[in-house]
Amino acid sequence: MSKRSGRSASGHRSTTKVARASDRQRGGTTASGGVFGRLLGPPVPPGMSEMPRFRTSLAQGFLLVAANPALIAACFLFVLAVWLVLLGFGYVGSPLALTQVFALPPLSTALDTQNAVSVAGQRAGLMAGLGLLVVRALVVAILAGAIVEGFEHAGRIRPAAIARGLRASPRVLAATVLAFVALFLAQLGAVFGAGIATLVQVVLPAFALYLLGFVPFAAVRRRDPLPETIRRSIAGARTPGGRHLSFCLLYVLIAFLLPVFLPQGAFITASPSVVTWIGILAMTLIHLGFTAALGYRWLAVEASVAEPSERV
Amino acid sequence: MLTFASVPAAAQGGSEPAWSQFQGGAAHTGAADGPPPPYRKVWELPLDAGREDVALGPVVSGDTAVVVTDGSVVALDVATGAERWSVERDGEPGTPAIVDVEDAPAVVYPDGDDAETAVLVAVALEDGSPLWEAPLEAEPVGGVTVDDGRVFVVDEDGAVYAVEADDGGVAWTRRISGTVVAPPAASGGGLFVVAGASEDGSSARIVGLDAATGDPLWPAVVPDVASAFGSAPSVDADSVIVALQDGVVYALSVLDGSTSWSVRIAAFVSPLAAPAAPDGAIFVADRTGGLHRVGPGGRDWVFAFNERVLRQSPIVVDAAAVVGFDDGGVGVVDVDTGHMTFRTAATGVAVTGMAVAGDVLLVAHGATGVPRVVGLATDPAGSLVDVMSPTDLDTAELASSFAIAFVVVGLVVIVAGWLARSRYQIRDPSRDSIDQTPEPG
Repeated sequence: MSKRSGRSASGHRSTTKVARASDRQRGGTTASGGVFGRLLGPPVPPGMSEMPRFRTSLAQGFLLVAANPALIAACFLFVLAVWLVLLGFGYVGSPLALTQVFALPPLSTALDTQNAVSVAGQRAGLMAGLGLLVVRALVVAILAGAIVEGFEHAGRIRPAAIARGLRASPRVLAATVLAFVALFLAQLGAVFGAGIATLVQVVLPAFALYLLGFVPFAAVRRRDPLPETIRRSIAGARTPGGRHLSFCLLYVLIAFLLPVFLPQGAFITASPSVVTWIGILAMTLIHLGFTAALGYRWLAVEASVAEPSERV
Repeated sequence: MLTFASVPAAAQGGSEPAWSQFQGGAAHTGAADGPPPPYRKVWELPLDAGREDVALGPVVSGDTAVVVTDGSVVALDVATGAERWSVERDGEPGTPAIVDVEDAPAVVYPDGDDAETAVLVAVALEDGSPLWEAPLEAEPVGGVTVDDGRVFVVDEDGAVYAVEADDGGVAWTRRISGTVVAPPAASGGGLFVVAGASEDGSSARIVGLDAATGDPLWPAVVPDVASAFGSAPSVDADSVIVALQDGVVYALSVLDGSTSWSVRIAAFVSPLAAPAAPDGAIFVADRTGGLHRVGPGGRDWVFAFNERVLRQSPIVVDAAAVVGFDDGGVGVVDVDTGHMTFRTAATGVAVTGMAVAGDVLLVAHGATGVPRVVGLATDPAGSLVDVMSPTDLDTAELASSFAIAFVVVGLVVIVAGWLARSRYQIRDPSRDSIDQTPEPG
C-alpha cells in the first residue's frame, strides 16, 4: 500500500487502491524499450488504463462546460473584451485570432505574441508578449480552478475556484513560460523547409501540451513545489495506455484546422458578422471542452502518479 | 551635387509626357490630374499574347499608350484603344518608359531572357522602328526608369545600369547585393533601389546611388528587424518611401539614408508595388487589399478592401486614391475621408498596372487570364457611394452581431447540456478510482 504525502484540495487524504497501477507504471517503464517507449510508457490493453478514453474525457469535459452557463458567458465576454482591447490598441486585421483566445498554451501564447507584434512591432511586441504570459497564466489557472471545482462538486463551480486558481498561478506561469520556449523552438523548424516546419509547428506544441498540460490542474489540486508539479504532470501524461500524446495531437490539429473554416474568418474587419462570431464562440467552446477534458484526465490519473518516495 | 526638391510627377523631365514610366514619373509618385470617379469602360483591347501573360505599364505619351507583355510591346490609341503597332520581345516583362531620343519620343523596354540575349531596347514611339540596343550582362528585371536623359535598369544579378537615352551608350554600371524586382526610383540626382534579401539570408536593403556616377550616396540601409523584401521605392520631396516586410513604412532621407519617420501598418506590401506619394501624403496598398494613408504623424486612415493586391501600386487621381486588385476590380477611396466612393466589378483577370492619360484611366490586366488594356472614363450617369472601411468600428453592429451569436451559441450549449445531464452525470474521476477516507483531525 502506497502512501501519499500530499493533501488533495478537496480536503481528503487519500489512501489509494491504485498502488497496483503505480506498480504497473513503474514496472512498465523499465519493461518498455527505446526512447519513445520510455517516454510514452508501455502498451496496455484497451480499457485497462487509468487514463479515461477520449470519448469519456471529452464527454465529461463538454458536459461540465455546458452545465455552467456562467462560465460560458464569462468566457464569451472575455473574448469580446480581448477584441475591444485589440481594437483599442490599433489592431487592424481579421478576427481569426479570436478563435484561439481560450486555446491551451502554447497555442494561446503564440496568439498573444502574434497580436502584440501586430500591434506594437517586432521588438516591443515580443516584450509585450512576455508580459502577456502573466495574463495568460492567470486565465489558465483560474480556468483550471473552475474545472477542478466543477468536477469535485458534481458540476457546480463555486467562487472559491478563483482563489484556488490564483494560488496555483505562479506554477502555471512557470509552465506557460516553458511552453513559450517550446514555441520558439518550434519556429526553428522553419530552417528545415516549409513541410517539416509545419510538422514541427504542430508536433512541438502538442508535445509541450503533453508534458505540461496537467500542470495547471496539478497545481490547483496540490501545493507542491514547481519541480514536483511538473514531474507529476509528466508522470500523469505517461500513464500507460493513456494515448495522451494522441489526445494532445488531436487537440492541436483541431485548434489549427477548424479556424480555417471560420465563415469570413480572413475578412479584415472591426465588426465581425454574426456567423463569424458564432464560429468564434463555437471554437471557444471547443477549447473549453478540451481543457475540461484535460482536467478530467488529470483527476483520473492523479492518484496513480507515484509519489517521490515511491519512485524507484 | 544633389539638389533635392519636391517635384510633382507630372512635371518631371520637362518635356516628358505625364505618365512616362512606372507610377507616372521617375520618382514613382503615382499622382496625376485625371478623370474623377465614377468610372465606366469606354474601350477594351485584348492583347495578342499567351493566356496568362503579364501586361505591364501602361505608359503614355500624348495620345499613345504602350504596354509590355511577355512576348510583345504594344502601342495603342488612348482615345479608342485601337492598336497602333507592336513588336516582339522575350523574357520577363518589365514596365517600359518613354523618353526623348534626339528630341523624339521613344519607348525603352527590357528584352531577352538570358545573358546572351539581354538588352535594353529603344524604339520610336511613332511606329516602333528600332533606335538602339544596349547590351546587358543578365536578364533585366522590374522595368526601366528614365530621368534627366538617362535610362536606368537593373538585371537579375544586381547590376544597375545607367544608359544614355540618346544613343544607348552605357554611362556606368554598379553591382549591388540582393534581389531586385521593381524599377528604381530617381529624383534630384539620386537613384534609389530596393533589394530583397540575398540567398545568404541577409535582410532587404535600400541603396542610394548618385545618378550621375553610380557612386553610393550612403551605405545601404538595412532595417533593424531583418526583412526578406521591401516594396518598390518612391520619392516624396526629400525622402525615399519604402514599405518593408516588417510591416513598417519608412521615409529615409535622400541625403544620408537616415530614417526621417516611420509608420507601422502591420501588413505586407508586395515588392512589385510602390507607395504613391503625392505632395506629402503617402498611400500604400498592402497585399490583403488594405489601402493606407500615412505620413510623419502616423496613419491617417486605412480602407480594407479585402482583395489581394500583388502587382498594382495605388495611384492618386486628384482627390481619389485608386487601387487595382487581383480579382480585376478597381477600388476608389476619397483621400480625405478614407471612405470608399466607387468600386468596379471583378473581371477575374488581375490588374497589373494603371496610368492616367487626360480624361482616360488606363488599366492593364494580366497574369491570371488573357491580358488586356481597358480604358475607363468618368461616367456622367454613375453615382458615388460613401462607405466607411470595415476596419472602422461600428459599435452598434459589433454589439448586435455578438449578442445574437452569444444567444444562439449559448442557448444551443445550455439546452444540449441540459439534455445530456438528464442521461449522464458529471463525475469526479478521482473519487471514482480512489477509496476516500476522511482526513484525520
